[in-house]
Amino acid sequence: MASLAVIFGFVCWAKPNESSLLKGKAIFEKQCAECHGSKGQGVAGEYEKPLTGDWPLEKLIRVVEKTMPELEPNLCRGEEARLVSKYVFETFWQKPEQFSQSREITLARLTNRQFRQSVADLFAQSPGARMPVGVDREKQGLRAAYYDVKKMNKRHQKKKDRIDPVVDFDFGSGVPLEGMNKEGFSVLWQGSILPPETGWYEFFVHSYNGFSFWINADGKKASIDETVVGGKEREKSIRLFLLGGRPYPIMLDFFKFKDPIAKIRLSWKPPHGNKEIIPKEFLFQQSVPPSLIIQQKLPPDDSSYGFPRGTMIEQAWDEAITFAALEAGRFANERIDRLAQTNNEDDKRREKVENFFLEFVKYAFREPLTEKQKEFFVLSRFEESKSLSQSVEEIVLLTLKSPRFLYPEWQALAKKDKDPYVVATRLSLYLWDSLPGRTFHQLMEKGNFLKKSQMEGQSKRMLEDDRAQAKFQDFLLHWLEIDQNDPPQKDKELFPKFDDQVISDLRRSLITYLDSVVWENRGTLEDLLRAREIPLSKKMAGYYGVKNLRDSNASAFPLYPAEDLGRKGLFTHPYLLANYSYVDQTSPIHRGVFVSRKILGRSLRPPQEAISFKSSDFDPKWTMRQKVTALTKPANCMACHDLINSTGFLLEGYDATGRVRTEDAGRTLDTKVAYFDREGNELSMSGPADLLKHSLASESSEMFFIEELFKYVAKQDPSCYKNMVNKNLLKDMRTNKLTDLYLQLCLEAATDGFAYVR
Amino acid sequence: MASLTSAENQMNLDFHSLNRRNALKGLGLSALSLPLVSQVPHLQAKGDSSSRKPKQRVIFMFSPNGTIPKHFWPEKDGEDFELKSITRPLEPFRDRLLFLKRLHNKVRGDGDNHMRGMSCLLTGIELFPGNIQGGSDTPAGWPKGISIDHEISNFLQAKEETRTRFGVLHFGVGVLDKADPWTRMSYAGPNQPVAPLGDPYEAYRKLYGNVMEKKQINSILDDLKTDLSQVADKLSPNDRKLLVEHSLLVDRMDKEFSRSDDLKNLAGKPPHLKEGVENLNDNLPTLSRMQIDLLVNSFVNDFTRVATLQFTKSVGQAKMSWLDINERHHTLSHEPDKNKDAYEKLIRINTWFAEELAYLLKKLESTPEPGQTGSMLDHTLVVWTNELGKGNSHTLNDIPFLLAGGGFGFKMGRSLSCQNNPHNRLLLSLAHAVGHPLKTFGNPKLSAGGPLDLG
Repeated sequence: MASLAVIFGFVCWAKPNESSLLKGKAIFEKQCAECHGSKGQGVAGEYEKPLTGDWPLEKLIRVVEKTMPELEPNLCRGEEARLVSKYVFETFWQKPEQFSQSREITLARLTNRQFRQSVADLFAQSPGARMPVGVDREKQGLRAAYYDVKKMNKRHQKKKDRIDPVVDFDFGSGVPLEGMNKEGFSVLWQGSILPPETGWYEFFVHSYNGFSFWINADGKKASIDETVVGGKEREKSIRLFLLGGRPYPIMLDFFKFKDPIAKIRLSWKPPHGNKEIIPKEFLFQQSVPPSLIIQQKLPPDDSSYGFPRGTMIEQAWDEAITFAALEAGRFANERIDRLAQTNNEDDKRREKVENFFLEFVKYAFREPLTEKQKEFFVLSRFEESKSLSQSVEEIVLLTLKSPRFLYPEWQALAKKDKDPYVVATRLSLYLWDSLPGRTFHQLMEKGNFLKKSQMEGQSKRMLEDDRAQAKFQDFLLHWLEIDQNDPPQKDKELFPKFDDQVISDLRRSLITYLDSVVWENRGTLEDLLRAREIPLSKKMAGYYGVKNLRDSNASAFPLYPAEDLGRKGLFTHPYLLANYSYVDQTSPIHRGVFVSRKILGRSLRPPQEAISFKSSDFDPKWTMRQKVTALTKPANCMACHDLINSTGFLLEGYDATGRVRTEDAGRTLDTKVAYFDREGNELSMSGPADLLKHSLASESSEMFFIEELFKYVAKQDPSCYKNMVNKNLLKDMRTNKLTDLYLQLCLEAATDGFAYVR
Repeated sequence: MASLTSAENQMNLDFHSLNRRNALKGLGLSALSLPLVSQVPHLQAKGDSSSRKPKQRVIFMFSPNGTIPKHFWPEKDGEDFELKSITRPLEPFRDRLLFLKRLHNKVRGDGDNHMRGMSCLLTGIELFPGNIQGGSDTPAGWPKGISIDHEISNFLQAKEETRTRFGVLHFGVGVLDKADPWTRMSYAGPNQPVAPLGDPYEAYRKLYGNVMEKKQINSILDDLKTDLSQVADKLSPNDRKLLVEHSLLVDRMDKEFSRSDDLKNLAGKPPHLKEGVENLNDNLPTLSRMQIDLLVNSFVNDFTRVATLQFTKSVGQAKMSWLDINERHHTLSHEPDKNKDAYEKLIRINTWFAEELAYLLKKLESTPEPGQTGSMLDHTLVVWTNELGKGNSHTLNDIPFLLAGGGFGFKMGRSLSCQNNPHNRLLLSLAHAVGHPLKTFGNPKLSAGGPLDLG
């Protein structure tokens, strides 16, 4: 009854001369507004999101015709569906800005990554601490000194200095070098380690003999002390959190005395990786000082916006930060004399410690201190009744818990004028997730950081720092959605040779590739997506059937032409294909969602009702394509699955481990699809090469990447920045080298004056 | 009024005599009972009525991916019910169990069933619109309201006689380092997920801490408050919001730590934790016991009266190698019933959770109630629940709600059909049972009819 009235009402109301838009509007108000709002803004408790999207008109009509109004799709068909869709399309469908809530920059606390980086750099500013500089990457391997030993581990005579690429030795009952003392010898390995990713690392030392092992630690106390035990085969391990892109000191002191045999092996288990001998590409000869890397577990940042940001203030965080500050206080206390360049016999010890902290607090707060602040945060903390160590820990605790440290952009929000300290703060955050250091402050104190050219010069220097590289790499892993997941395990019976080593090599291949295209070759987004060459290890070559891998001493992952491996575009890297597959078969849906969103920049809505794919529901003789087609056939599924399936089917030529295949379920593969682009043009595609071609020609693909990068860098939406909106800057940047793109985004956002849209 | 109290006392006495026998079996008794002597009521000063009022505590225990209904639910309703294979480990507590059949999570709206199953389980309200599939502009779907554990805790914290140091504590076993609506069931308010403590050592430090550290922290809190307000004053009211939240946390820490003097007079000594147990899949059985020990100990010391115990998360992927199961839990839960191997493994997985519940109940039963007669189980209600009714159908109907223990005055020892009602009504019953007569909880429409009659 009610539904008839609706249609009837409309028919009576319509006059032949009304414009079609008005007609559409009327239909919308009668049939759609209840759930979508009178202006398409959404209705709480019904459909809450604004009605916007990137579907072309024809598709919108199709979807409305088949699925709307929900539960009664018969109410709006044919001409009505066309009219209402046209109205929606013209009035707001492609104008999401109409619905954007106030686009304002929001105050945020440091993210976990920013917190750890900032604390590490804060303690590295004093001249006594020595800032860890970038390591010389040409000099791989560890410095090894071989000695003959007299009595226990007393070094008697040095026999040789040499470079050992890795530590993996079984000397048996013999000696490392000819002419050495069989009874007792020792080896000292020293250098630095550059972890590839941020996260928890476990280090293992396996030996039959005596050893001590230091990782990111001072000489005094070993991380693992096994000098006492000997004559017993054993493995000891230590687990610690490390930030990627920073070198850490590493040292292994090994000795044999009277034991029948001698062996020593140094391995690790990196985050998302498997246990392995530490490969030579992560070991370097250079010495570096230890860094304070906070080990306290921090509750995860809110990543519900698609990137981690510090907008969630919870009790667990407050407590974790407090414990982290105490950890930092102990660190400071243990080495205060070195940090302040004094000693306990120095008459000016207290004065020097005070001066150290006046600088320390200045760096922490990212601006010069007022006299009042000096008194409050530092000078008043030294009282007769307190021991020096109490004062030290109290200052560190109060400083690291202060909102001035924890909310780095608060000054930007409080100040109205341009200020070099605000620009410096932002540049450090955006490029490094850290804070301006000593040299930066000196620059500003001398007034050498005011002009645009000075700012540009400084950001270029910052770009070449390892920390900038590490942050960009983290972004790329985040963009590819492989920053959180564990590596893809597959069914051991179906893919017996797809073992742990292949899997960790795949991840390393991808990371090495990203590194080389961005930093070594200074490529563009197009270069990145094209992936003309793929780093290939021997193990990967074996699995993917490559016979002519050239043997290279320089790298365990020599570059191999992607074409010869059957690859067309970054998204056909086997790690990604395997990652977006089930354990026993491909998943066109996962692959399609990934490619549509991340590579093509298309927007997808989450499904109304999650339906899971169960292979066993279908005839086993069917191909995956047939199964997925049948599963997603209902009209409300097809609203998004036409896009998802078409892009996913294009990659069906690769199995669940990313190997090239030509058959599925005993049938020749069919990868031909009809793909509808944003404008509604139907494109006929038949494989990854077409997909690559389209993604390179598509503006949405580039814009999506740039916006994702911006959000990751600044932890804010680009529309909060006037420059980004007004100058259409993002658009102009897309053909740049990726490093330039990164630099420009950071610089523009940092110097966007205080012209936030507020 | 007076007669009621004496009846309660009589009941407690009965339970006391019943439980002393059980308690004596426990080896840990001597360690626990000595410091308790001073708190036995008749030794305390007369007229201290508040300590005589029985305490009420509640624990929400969560295990993921649905159950196997045929082996979970008793077939018969009423007191004459039988325990199926999954719940058989609970046999010793048969008289203190209450199966709530046909109770559905009817919250709809955004999010898949795992998400709503998890995030609406204790909130009973829809999720904010969002796109937790990642890479979206819109805020993701945290729920629009507070969860019942926090609601009850807020109610208890508002009154001096029921106020405790923490108010509510969240323990996790095998919880991952990720914050999304699949991983959180407790919410301090709309959009305010609360992370469980996944690491027993972290939990230990929170509970007992280092007295020196606390003193240190206490010494700067006043200055920190000054600092916070000075910064806040320079910001616009809108930007200030986050700092206001932050200041509340500092106040909270201040309160907690100023009470930490009590630590010297703990009723129960901290449990001895095995050292160096990492938060790894294979350690889940050990971690589970450590967390349960800490949880019960926090009750002994009256640090809190509300707690959650969360095993993994919705879509949890524990690989229960200790049960000789090498597939991951959620993956298995998708298998159709006709896959006998998976079916049998899922029964074993759910039975394992029941064993952990049995351990918790046993621990509570063998712990005398401090300052009261009877065992701690008499004063504690455990709500075992799950985000789904059944894994392979992803249904939010027939959520496996199993209540255990005493504490809330519900009539236990039976299996009850809840007549297809929304689970919001159970959440309401819990609030009413602590004397907090809410009209609605979560979505008001789903609260129609008020609390379930469980008495």
